[in-house]
Amino acid sequence: VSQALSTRAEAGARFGAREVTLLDMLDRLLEGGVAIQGDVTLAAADIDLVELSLRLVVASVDTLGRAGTGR
Amino acid sequence: MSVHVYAICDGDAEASPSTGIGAQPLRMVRCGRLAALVSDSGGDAPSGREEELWQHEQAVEALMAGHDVLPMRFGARLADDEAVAVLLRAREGELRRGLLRVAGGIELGIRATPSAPAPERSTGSCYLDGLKRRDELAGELQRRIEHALAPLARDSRFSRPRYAAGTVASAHLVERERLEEFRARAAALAEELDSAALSCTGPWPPYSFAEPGEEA
Repeated sequence: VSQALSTRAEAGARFGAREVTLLDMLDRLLEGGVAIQGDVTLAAADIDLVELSLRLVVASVDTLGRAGTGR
Repeated sequence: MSVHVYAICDGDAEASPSTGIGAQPLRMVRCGRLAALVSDSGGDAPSGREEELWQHEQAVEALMAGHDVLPMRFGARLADDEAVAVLLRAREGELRRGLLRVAGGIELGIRATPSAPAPERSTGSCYLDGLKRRDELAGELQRRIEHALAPLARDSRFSRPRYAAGTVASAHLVERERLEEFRARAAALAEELDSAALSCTGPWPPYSFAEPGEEA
């Protein structure tokens, strides 16, 4: 998708998987950062995002499990 | 015509020739000693597709390459440039303190998951013992991470993600020049841990340090 994505993917590949990077990204963009209350229509997207994170959780737990036992 | 807001930075920063959500060009809205990186949204709320999240991230990273930034949470949208200027003026003190807090720093993410099997549901007490053991393991894991990595960071914040039981996640605010040192220490820790899988991601914009900590 972007330069950012490939940079992240490379960084993630050292220790884990792309899914972990996506999960870390979601945690930061959706729960971190400066929040504006009131003024902003927070993503109609929220439902999509929840769904996306759940899929990623399943993927990443799976991947982490394999990384852990593979050593 | 509303605008997406990506990050706050010093008033004299220039927008990079990068793009934001929907591949819209980025520009700055300035007010006093602060500026906000924005793009036109065409009136649509962000849909939350993965591509849009990365577009937000890419916009913040492009600015972070040359400036200290306070990243906005995804989905920040205001009516127009004037509303952005009003925000910068109304929260000037808080935003300037935030920029000082993260100045010169980048964020690294650590995620560690014990490889112990999930608690069995055979009996109630057996299950509860399993949950207790899992919490103990997570606590021990957090102490190991804190001991190994917190000394390299200006600030560290730990969390236990609701959606991944037993996992310890942490964010570390690290001086830009200590990035490789931090990564090497994280890689060494990953090797040392034989009962958990550890990952290190970043550098991220300092999302986890955009708001003051509990002690602040």
